[in-house]
Amino acid sequence: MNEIIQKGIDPLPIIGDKWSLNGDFISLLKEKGLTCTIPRVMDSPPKSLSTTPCIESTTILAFYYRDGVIVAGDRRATAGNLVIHERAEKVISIDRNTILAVAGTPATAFEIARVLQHSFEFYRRSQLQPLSVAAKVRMVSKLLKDNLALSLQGIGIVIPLLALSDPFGKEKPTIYFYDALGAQFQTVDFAVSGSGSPAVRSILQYINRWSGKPTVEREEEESIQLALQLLDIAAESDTATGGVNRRTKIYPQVKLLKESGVVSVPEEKLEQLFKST
Amino acid sequence: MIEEPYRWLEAISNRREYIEDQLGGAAPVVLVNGEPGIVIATKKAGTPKIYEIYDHLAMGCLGHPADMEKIRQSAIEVAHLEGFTRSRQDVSARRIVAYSLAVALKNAFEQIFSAPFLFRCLFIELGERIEKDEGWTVDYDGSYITTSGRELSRGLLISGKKEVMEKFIKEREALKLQEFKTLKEMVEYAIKLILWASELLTSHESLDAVINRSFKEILSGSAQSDFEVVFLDRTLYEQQSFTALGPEMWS
Repeated sequence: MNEIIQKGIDPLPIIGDKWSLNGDFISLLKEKGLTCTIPRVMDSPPKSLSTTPCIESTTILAFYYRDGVIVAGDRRATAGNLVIHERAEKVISIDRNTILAVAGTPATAFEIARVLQHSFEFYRRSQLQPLSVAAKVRMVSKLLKDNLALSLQGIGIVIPLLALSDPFGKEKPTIYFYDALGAQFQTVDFAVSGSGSPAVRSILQYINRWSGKPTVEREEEESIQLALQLLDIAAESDTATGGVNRRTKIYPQVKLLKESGVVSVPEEKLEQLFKST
Repeated sequence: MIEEPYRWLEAISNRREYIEDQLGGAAPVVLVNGEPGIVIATKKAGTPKIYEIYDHLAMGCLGHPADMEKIRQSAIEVAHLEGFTRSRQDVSARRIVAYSLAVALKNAFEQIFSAPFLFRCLFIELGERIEKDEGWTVDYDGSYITTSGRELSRGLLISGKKEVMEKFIKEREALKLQEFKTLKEMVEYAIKLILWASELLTSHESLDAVINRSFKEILSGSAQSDFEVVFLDRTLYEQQSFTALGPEMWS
């Protein structure tokens, strides 16, 4: 603890010593020895590790609607066949213009989100301008690459979705999805991830191709209703997906990304919209 | 130098004289708090002088731009490392000023073989309630004074001229605590302080007299009409409270 405290205080002696100009918080963390130690790739995980159930969170989705992007995720976290938590938050606001949704191991995912939150704000404040969309996308990719060792061992895998609006207002909100090794892809209509995602994918594909009213033409409330329905349907066949819990009134998490920024949809509104479907 | 300690004292004295001379032309930076939050203001210059440090922290400074940048970057680094390794609640003005900024500034000031920092700042922490607001006056030699709570409603000011600051401290005692209810009231009060400080050495008008005059009258009688004004919004305390204000607030 003393070492951490000392490291937390020491940064200032760089005055007159060395001076970081690039606004890179991740490099600063590495310099201070504050990054998580990534274990080396092992031939096979130790027995104790391989039998320890990893907590995982599943089923997230993002699609374009008329005013921007809607991002939603269920609230269930599981470990094997056990439901560990019913109020997990998988849709995370990174900054005013960025939403990260995570499927996979919450421990890794939340740490990645936390690093991103501080990195984006650190850059904005230190450089007096926000980070560009392209740079944010690459930063997420880099963090996933840094998690390569855990991914290859089958533990600590994170498959995120990233929704961003341009802080300079030049582009419309966009959606990116990744694989576990950090490859990034921009989607034209929707992105899904997690164990319940196949059902969601099929429905969204049908809607966008055959329904006569693709998601991009839908209004906000209609889009929120659709997101809730999609996750509820995914929960029908995937035990790791929470859906809408009518008994405890736990609803999926929904955030909107408009050109003006991130908007979180309160649970009261979710309940109202779901009941009116 | 070690064998002749009086020479060190003379060097420090010369150093202080040099720094004060260099800071003499800097425009004042003021802050004032109220129920809505905290307003920080200064005259508009080519480069900004009021910076966001963290969600609820800001810094208004004057001095050499390179030194301001160096210290600003360092304060931001400290704040974000603290926030990352601990939590947002653990990032406070006291920790940054007392444990980091002041120590480094004092060391730099007393290292007489290297260039000193030409720097003076107000370090501001927005509280969840007005009673928790803090304003730290930090000088180039590492000395600092803290003012907190409703006391800040009378204002806090730094200037490049030491005599202006001393005059302000003296006259501020005669002011009553302000009870601002709107942001506009706070902005106008802050600008009055700026104009008083800027024109003190020529007009010799008392602070109380300026405060009680009509804002429009003061502004119309001043050559300066462009200001850099920032608002730390208390309603956004749990988020990012730093908001730059435009001229519509005082025009």
